Amino acid sequence: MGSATTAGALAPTESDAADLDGGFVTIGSRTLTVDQFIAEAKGSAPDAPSAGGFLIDFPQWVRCFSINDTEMVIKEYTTWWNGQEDKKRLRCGDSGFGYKHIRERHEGDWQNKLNRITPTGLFPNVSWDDLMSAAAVNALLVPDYSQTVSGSKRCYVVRMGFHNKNGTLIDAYNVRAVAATNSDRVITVLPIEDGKTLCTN
Amino acid sequence: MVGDNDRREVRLFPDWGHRWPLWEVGHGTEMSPEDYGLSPGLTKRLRRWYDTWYRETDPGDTWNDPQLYQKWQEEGARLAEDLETELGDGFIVKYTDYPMG
Repeated sequence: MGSATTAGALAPTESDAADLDGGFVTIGSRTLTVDQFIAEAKGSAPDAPSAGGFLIDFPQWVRCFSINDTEMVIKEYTTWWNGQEDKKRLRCGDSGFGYKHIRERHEGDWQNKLNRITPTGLFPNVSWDDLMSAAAVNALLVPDYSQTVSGSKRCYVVRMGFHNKNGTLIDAYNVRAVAATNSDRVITVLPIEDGKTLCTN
Repeated sequence: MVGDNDRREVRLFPDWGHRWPLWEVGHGTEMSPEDYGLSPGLTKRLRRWYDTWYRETDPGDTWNDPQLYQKWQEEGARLAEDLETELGDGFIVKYTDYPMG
């Protein structure tokens, strides 16, 4: 079992001069417009549409779901540990890790979160995996908390707040990302309800 | 009798970061035996089932012991049945296991 620590990431501090006209997202010291938040989620797919469902494009979909190319990289994320920059990658995966795992096990959790925001008009044309990927960017880059899990995995948690253009808080919750420490794999990413344990090892 | 569409769906599978293999969208997502008032016996079996998975597997890797994997799968299916029985008529349990790797 791993030891619990406080967040040890040495992420660059950032205070974006955000244009707040259309709503914004707060993540620790970061304040991003909705467009900035979602733009960070964009994957490596060159043919992905520019708005909505842009994490994975059709050729990648075929490679992942028809050819079962487990190691295909969908998105690369930056994380920091002990002053060192590290890269973690969301790969196609299988039912145990990566995009397929998240899709099979946690799409409903993410869709449920998206459904609470979309009626406000804050996230038009955004799909559940765009929201998931944007959350993963921030959990890995600027975690509020992290701890070792099971010896070869690390759990990262960040709290996100979603505000409309008037600054009213629409929704806020923590996000957990778990990544391998003995490889570059992102294993899982999911929203956590308030009152639940952030990470359990 | 509760219709299928009115039943709460509890999913049974282990995942990293949450020590109970119980999930329910819209009711807290990550659930525990206390949330449902499960019996001590079933709680202990859920704990043991999760711990076996935690100890024996790594994402993307294979189980070292095929026989243990088979037993783990079978216990998962039994747990799903027993969980649905304890939860009662208002719930449906969906068990999704992992491949051996």
